[in-house]
Amino acid sequence: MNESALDRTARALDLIPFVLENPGLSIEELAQEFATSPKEITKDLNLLFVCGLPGYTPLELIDLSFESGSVSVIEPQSLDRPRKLNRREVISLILGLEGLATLRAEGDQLRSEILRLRDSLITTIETANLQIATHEEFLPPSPFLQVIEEAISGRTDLDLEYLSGNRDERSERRVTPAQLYTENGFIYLIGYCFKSGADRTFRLDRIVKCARSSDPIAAPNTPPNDSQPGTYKALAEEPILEIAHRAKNFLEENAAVLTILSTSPDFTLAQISILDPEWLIRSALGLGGAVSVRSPATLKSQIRDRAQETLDRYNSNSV
Amino acid sequence: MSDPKTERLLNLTMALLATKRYLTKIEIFQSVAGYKGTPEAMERMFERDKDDLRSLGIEIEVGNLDNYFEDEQGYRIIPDSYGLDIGEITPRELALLSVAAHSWSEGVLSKSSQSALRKLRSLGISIDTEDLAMGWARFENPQPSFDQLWQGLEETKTLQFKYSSTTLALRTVDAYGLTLWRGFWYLVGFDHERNEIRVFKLIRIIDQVTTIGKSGSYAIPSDFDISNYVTNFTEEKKHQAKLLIRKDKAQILRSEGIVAPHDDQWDQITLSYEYQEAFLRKLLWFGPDVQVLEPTALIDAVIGRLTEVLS
Repeated sequence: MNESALDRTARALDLIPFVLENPGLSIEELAQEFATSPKEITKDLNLLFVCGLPGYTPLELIDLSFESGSVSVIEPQSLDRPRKLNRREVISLILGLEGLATLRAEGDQLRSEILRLRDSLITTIETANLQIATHEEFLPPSPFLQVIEEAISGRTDLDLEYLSGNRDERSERRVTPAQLYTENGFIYLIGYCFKSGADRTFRLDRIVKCARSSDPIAAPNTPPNDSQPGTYKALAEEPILEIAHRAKNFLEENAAVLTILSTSPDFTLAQISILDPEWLIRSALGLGGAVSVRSPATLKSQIRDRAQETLDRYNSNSV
Repeated sequence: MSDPKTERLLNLTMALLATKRYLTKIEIFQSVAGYKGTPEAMERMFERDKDDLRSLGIEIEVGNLDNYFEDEQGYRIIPDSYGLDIGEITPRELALLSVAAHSWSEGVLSKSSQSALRKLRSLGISIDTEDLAMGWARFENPQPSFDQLWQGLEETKTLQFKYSSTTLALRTVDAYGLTLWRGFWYLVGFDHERNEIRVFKLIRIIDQVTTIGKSGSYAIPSDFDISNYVTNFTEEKKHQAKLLIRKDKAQILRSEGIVAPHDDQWDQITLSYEYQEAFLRKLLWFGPDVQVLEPTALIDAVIGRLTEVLS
């Protein structure tokens, strides 16, 4: 990748004050810090080595040492201070802080500390038009955010009561929580699930109960009983779907597992890779004619049977 | 071929930062390494370099040199306008900022907050994560539309993108603001075709966003407040539904309403919903384990949808 002279200039200007305060890092470590390759950092350093103040004698040049494997700045000349934060940088930090604040309930001490810090950052930029605004409802609402967040930071386990969608069952699980993340409007928790004996992802709106475990748990000595997708027999044939344009939500929500084969004015033809056919059968009823299975035929008839069975409830006077 | 240019930009920045007085163009051309060619060529080079440094947020101050040559202008960078000055930052605050900087999963927000953090870590403040009880969270920053929209917004350039709503159409929009609400990013802006302010969900923007106007092709109204538009989506009326659910089934529904036993096979549940479409999908997920009793409109919709599947 060829990067622009401006990107390199910006990074070189930031590299000197950073190394000045964080001396002794290797080129690889610096590359990681600056999200670039060791090759680019080496180029930056070689370039900085020949830059300096008018006169350009050894006394006026930037002096670095980086041959022994660790980088340090001997003479920064006039580049000893980090550049001021630009607007994007400040806004990104403000938004990140607001996100963290929403993980904590109103009145929480850490939350107020985070919001105070945000307020002091806001004073450093012109806010007449911040252009990017978050909302009190930054994340989808969940009553369990704080308890989960506290369990992650306090390194305690959680006892969850969880609803599994595909199998329509409720299960109790002990989980060592690792991280929260957002995707497509949902919040997910990743953690080690003792019941499954592996890392699992849980959707927060499917958690019915959630509490910090008080008793320590021993590692499971029984083989894990996996009741989440993953143990299903993979489908012999990946289903091909006709997705009408009005089913745009379906396309969005499942973008990661859909491979678009073709698009026409009426529908998108896509292949879906799923582990559990039950998921597709259940989804298809709700989507009506907007998403239909073209193949395989067995799946097609399973969906029809399920639809017929459901419809029968309304035809017979069973109430 | 970017290296001679980078080298010149670095030398120019260093020289302008180091000088205590204004440097004239002649002095710059004579003393700063990298300027060569005819006077006109150097002049053009210098003009471009100034613009480039400004685009990096480096302010070059222009001033009159002295009273002998009143029209002779000089240039310098004031160290205090160049350098980071964020007031007092404690090691604990730096730790909080570090957690915040790492909370974006990708995209421009991640890139910008991490470069901010690098600058803050160049201040010589130690970072104290010792008693910071804060877990890690990652927030989504959609790519690449977010970057392109933010750019358009900053430069107030009119934007064009394909948007998937009831139809897939090309929309021409003056961006007024971006916001994150309940886990989704939205753009609020003036829609040229509709001739009014509209809300766009970023996830529905298809392909690339292109800019069609010049910088400053519109002005954001001074009384524009993005929160007025975002709260608009929430004012949906709640509807009540009464359902039969098979015992031990439809677990996800059970936590959302009031459940009472009906007979030995079925329970009855009363619950409320906002959007019929979303609710319908939720109910049909459970197939023959759920039967709608009320309202009639919902029964009709269920029957209609199932008939559609069978047709």
